[in-house]
Amino acid sequence: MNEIDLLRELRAGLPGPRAESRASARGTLVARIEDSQRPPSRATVPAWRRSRPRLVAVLAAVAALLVALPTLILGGDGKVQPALGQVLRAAAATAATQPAEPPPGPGQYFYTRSREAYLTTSIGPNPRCATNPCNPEHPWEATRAWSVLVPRIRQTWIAANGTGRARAVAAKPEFLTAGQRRAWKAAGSPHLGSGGVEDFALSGQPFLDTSNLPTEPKALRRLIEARKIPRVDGPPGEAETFTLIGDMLRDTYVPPAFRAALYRVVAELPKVELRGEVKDPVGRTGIGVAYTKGSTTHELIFDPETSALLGEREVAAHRIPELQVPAGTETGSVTYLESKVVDSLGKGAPPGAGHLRQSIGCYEKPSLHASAAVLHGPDPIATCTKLWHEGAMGTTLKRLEREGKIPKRPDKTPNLVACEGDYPAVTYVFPGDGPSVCRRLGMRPAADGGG
Amino acid sequence: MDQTTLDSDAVSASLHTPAGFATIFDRHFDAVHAYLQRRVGPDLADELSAQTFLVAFDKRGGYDPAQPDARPWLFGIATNLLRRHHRDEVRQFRAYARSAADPALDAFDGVEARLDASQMRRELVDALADVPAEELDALLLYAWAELSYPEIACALDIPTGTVRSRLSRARGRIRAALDAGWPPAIGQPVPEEGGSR
Repeated sequence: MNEIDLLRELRAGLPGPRAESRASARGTLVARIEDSQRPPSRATVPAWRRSRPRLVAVLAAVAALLVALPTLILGGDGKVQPALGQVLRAAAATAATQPAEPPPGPGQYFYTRSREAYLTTSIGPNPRCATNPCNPEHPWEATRAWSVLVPRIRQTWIAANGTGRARAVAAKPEFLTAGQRRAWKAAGSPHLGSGGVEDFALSGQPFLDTSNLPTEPKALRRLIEARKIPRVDGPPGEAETFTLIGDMLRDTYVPPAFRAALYRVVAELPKVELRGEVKDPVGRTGIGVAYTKGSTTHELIFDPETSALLGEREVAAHRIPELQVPAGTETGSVTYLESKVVDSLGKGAPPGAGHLRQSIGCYEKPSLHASAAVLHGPDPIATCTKLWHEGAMGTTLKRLEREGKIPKRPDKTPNLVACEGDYPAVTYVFPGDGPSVCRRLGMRPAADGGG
Repeated sequence: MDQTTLDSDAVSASLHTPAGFATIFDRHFDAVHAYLQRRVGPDLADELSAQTFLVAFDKRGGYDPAQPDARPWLFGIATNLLRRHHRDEVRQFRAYARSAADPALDAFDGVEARLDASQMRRELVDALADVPAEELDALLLYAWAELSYPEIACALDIPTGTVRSRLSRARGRIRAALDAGWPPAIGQPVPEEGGSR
């Protein structure tokens, strides 16, 4: 097998584009085609520049569940509002006084229930052309985009190590306008996914570990802006910083003191706007803070009484031609309905839910860049020791010795140290004499013994 | 969709009847998306593939009518859009090599940890992180998009001889990196035959 064959196996067999991604891209193109027929002065905002549901990418698998879409807002009703900083500092003070809920213990899960709804856009024939033949000189008139919100109720059960279960049930779709419903009918009333159930096991990604993070706002802001917090990463820029703070607030288990610090950081961001009292998507009243980037406004809504995050909305800040939606349209929302610590994964959990498949990385040298063997098994040190005994480790070093590039070393199994890093499903085992090896590599000694 | 029209005819016709350009989208969107997804994951691929066709539409006046197949042209546009993301791509390769979990695939909902037990694959991605951007483009257009040398030349707007030398340098780098870690430790799946020694 040569390197091209190996390369062809890498990331092979991925699923194709989601139907809504294809439809949205096609809608964007069709809108651009239509625009090319009009006087050229109109500024359009390509759909790809809209701030995307990128949290999906950031939070990845785990969070896949909590997935939230940045929300948007529109809002202001003209009332005079107290100053933003004042409100957020008040939220921070409230958060700091909340009792710290205990994190899920062994055999327990952090349970959340939320409602999410995202706007999806598809392309179908223009219903008007069924009765009045459309002008053949303008073939683009023959299509019509229609947009629909498909609400889903999402439940997640997540243990401290990141394993667990996610279940989502799609509810009845909501069309934005009667015209859009007609366009959907004209397209043959394609199934919109209502009643669909997804239920799957989660593994691997734990809650954000806030125990080593500062709660002093300036220090915390510097860490976030430098993108130095593991898994809270993204491109530079203030808009991204706002998104990342949202990601941390919606991470299911956030200790109150840390939540307070996040509100204080938000208060310091220059472009954040206070929306005042707003209703969340299920009608609860909260305080909204918003950030507008490009054509979308993302709003976080929190409860002034408890400082808890109630929900998020994403709203078109101006008309988005590709989606054929006017300014002010809600294009996505997530509402956090319930969270608590529970003792089970609920009824009908899928197989494998709640089990961590532990991987062990046996490294040749105390470096994450060294060659490593990855195995599965219960005892990291014993597993790697066996590999060293069998002569399977240190092959690079042995080859270098044989080629005379490094001096001969005594032939013995080194002391091994087990470390834990950002991924709890992986235990890292390095040659070394003590836990300082882990710390030097930015990790922690593994809980079950460091060699 | 009319399968009998050449892409070049469809692009030319769209200069007068722009709506016809949707044919190019319908024929090639999935292939462009698949390639981008393999390089940067599904979320960014959604964004960049949509953008590829917008740029293509805007630049259709410059399409070479002698090229019957639009794929090399589209992959060339996609490659240009990827450039800004090269550093992220490298970061993802490094993270994959380090943790055995491929961050580019994170966005595929949970289901199972995508941990990869093959040491060789981790060495491969670590080596990819060290391949310079212009060689990486040629290499992955060849291995993943399955373009021929002349098609890669067209996509990247470089002579065919340059394609050949970029590919051979990139392959050499990867072989060297894989050799350094060979043979992999026991206890893990190993590709059949293989072996440099």
